[in-house]
Amino acid sequence: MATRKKKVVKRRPAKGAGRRGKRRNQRRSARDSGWLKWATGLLVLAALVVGGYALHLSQVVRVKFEGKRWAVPARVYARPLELYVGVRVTPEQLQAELERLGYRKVKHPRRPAQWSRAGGWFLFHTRPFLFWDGDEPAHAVEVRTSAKGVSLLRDVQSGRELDLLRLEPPVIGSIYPAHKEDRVLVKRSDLPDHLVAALLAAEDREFFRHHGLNFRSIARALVANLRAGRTVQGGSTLTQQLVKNFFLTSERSLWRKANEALMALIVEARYDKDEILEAYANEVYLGQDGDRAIHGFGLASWFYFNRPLDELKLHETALLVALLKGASYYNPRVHPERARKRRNLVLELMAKQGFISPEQAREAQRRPLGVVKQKRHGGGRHPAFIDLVRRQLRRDYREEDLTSEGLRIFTTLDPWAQAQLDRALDAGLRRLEKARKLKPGTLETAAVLVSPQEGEVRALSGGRRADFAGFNRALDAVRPVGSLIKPAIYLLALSQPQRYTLMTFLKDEPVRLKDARGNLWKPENYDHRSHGLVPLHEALARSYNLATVHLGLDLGVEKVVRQLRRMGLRRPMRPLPSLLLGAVSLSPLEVAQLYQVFASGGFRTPLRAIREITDAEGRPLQRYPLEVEQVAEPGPVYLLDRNLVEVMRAGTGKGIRRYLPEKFEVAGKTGTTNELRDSWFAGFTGDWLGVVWVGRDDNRPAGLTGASGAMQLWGRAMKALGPMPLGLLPPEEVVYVWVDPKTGHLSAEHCEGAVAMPFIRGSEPTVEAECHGTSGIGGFLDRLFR
Amino acid sequence: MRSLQRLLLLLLPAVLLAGCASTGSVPSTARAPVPAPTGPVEAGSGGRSGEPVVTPYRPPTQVAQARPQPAKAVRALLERARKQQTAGDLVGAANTLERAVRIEPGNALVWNRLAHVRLEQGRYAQAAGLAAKSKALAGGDAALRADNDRIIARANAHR
Repeated sequence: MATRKKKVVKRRPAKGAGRRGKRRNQRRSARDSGWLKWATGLLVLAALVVGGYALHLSQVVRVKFEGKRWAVPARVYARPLELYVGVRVTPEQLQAELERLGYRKVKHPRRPAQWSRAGGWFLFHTRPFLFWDGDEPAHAVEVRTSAKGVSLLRDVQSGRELDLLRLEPPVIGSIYPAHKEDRVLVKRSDLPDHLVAALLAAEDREFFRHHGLNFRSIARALVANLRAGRTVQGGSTLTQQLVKNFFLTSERSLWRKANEALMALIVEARYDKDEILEAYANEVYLGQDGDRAIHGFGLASWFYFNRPLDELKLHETALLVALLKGASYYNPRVHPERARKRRNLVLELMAKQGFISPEQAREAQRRPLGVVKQKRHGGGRHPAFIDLVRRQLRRDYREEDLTSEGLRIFTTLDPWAQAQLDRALDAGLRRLEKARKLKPGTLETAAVLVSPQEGEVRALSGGRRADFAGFNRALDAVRPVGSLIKPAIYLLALSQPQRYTLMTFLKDEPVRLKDARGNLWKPENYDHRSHGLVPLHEALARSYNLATVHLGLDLGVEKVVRQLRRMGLRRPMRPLPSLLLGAVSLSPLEVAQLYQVFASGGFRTPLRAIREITDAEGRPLQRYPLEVEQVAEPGPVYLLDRNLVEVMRAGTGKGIRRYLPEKFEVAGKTGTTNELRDSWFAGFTGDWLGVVWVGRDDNRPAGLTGASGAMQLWGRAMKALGPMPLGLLPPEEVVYVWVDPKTGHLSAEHCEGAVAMPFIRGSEPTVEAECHGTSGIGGFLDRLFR
Repeated sequence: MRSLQRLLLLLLPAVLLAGCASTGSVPSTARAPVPAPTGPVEAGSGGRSGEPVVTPYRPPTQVAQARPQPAKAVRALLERARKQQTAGDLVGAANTLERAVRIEPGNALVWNRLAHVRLEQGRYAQAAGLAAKSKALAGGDAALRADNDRIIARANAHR
């Protein structure tokens, strides 16, 4: 060093040296050292900038990896199918459920999620499942079933008969965040070996060796691409791809590439290979389902093959890896040939690098793609029902928790019943439109199916297009209910047995009322006639408007409103006489809530779509317990229910026999509104309560009565469901008495025309009717000496 | 006088006959038979006309009506719930009983057991409602009805 300095110092002076040269030298050295200072300064600055930027990126990486890494949407499950000897699950229903669960049909079921069938004889192996009330381990079972239901349920291993078997519930959808990414999280240990092998073979051979960037593969890719004239190979490592996926935009500038390279290095420095692999497996984009983005292998496995990742075969896994190069370009449902070629290339690479044998590769290459049909698009199945689930959740959860915490929501949906309902509504509407020469698509509908005693919503239809996530008519189409309101009025009356019985005569006479503004209200019967004095049960069975108005006014409209409130209606209602004829607008779900009281013998249960919520680990968070409240006495409800059975036997609902057998006991009420704008039907059997609305979205008259419109769809659906008859049993306080139908007076069995009618004990008629009929001497003397 | 005597003599047998024939102030034939239910009778719902009742509440004194019944499944769940309740796992017991209700919603005993669990949990309003429901399904089963009344009384005492 000293020598150099000396050299500098000993430099020969330039021409013109001397004092001038010396000064020039001084200036020059001053310039040189200044330049050095600048250079050093700049270098330091640059280092600081880069270092600072690297720190910033490091921070970004950390936030992405730790903290709230991925928003895992809430997973929504349908009801689990319960099997036991005697349950009416037919072979078709059982098969449909197994297919829904993604079980694989094999010759000999040996592993979970495999099944086989010979007629009504099923063998299958269930998956273990963590229910809200505990773990259900996997079972190998034998089930025998027929059209009558399950006759045998046996555990294959022990040979013992099973009392009860609960299958895992099928996933019906997810509630995911605003940016509409969906995932099924997988852990590093969940990644099957051949998935990792495929990734290494096809994407990043030296993943476990490099430090984020692989210059050899970049060079190799460059050569391959130049040779091919386009991009055939990528040189990015899995780490780089992971980093790329973290950004939402798909900008491919040089600046972005440099950023990603730097971040890849940082990621590798901070995290180990397993963590990176796990993140990668959960982050990569693998497909699109309407506006739902499929991220990660866990979900992609369900999306393409309807089964979990660990059940995939080699050729199926290879297909998923093939999609990494372009999920839309290689979409197996849209471009099957491309997908197959790419998949087979992946398999070839796996064989070349020794992860699988050439025979294995060949065998897998021969297989078809195996992709299942895409479930109806638009945000999952059953959007109307999931909408109801969302609303019920909103009461208790914030949107952020719903869409990010990986909640597991167990619902009441019966997918089989939903399918029957959807089909019936669609076919029914098309038949109606055809019969009335309406343009297809003119009519719309909404329907709710509920279990009568527990108030669980088993199926919900928001419109004729079952897969459409649009306007949810079951919850939001609020329409005047017309005659559907009448049973509530009649229940109120029958709850006062000293004043009203089924035989009480009502005045079906003209009504003229003035409202507050002096406008005249003159309702009419459907047939525009008055019928004079009619017994109460007949007024309901035939849905006479005039008699109902008189009855309602006698009872008091405010009292009717209170009755409706007791039965669960929350909507504000104005206590006007027109309310008595259903000038109150309700949604189909609200109507179902109302009729649930009739169907359950007077016990109101708030209608529920959710049974239980657990967190991602299965810890229970919220329960929706079975709650009942007695809001009416069993006697009056029984009388009303019998009256509603009469509606279906002899009244406005008798057309139901087109769908249900003559002797089958069913109760219901038709509802029609002004100018035939809305067609309603609400009815129940032993195990189903259903409400259907038919009308037009533009509110123009559909030209359908309750019976000719909604009831047709209801009947069709009910026929498909195969219900149990109503089986009404009279409570203790009800007695049956023979009466003369014309006068309501007490009669006897042998008297001509006498009918047996139920009464609340103590309210039976005491006045005797004239009896015309053979009786014998005993009867004659009886009457003589009474 | 003699005509009157003769008349009385003539009427005597008739009077005697009438005495044998009359059965009370209301003719017995005015009571109609309870119409047979057209649907299956749920176990535990009891007979409506005071006949001996078959419920799982006590050993059946007569064979239940033949119909496809999931009685075994419900019995298994009832047993499981009983064990859970004894062990203090009330939430588990309630879960199990709700499962049983879903399988056999017409079974008065299941509702009654659920009411007991809710009572023990201190959910008095729920207990009363469930007991009322059980009562409505219990029919002629006097013991079950009485038990439900007890639950309702205790629940109401706390409200």
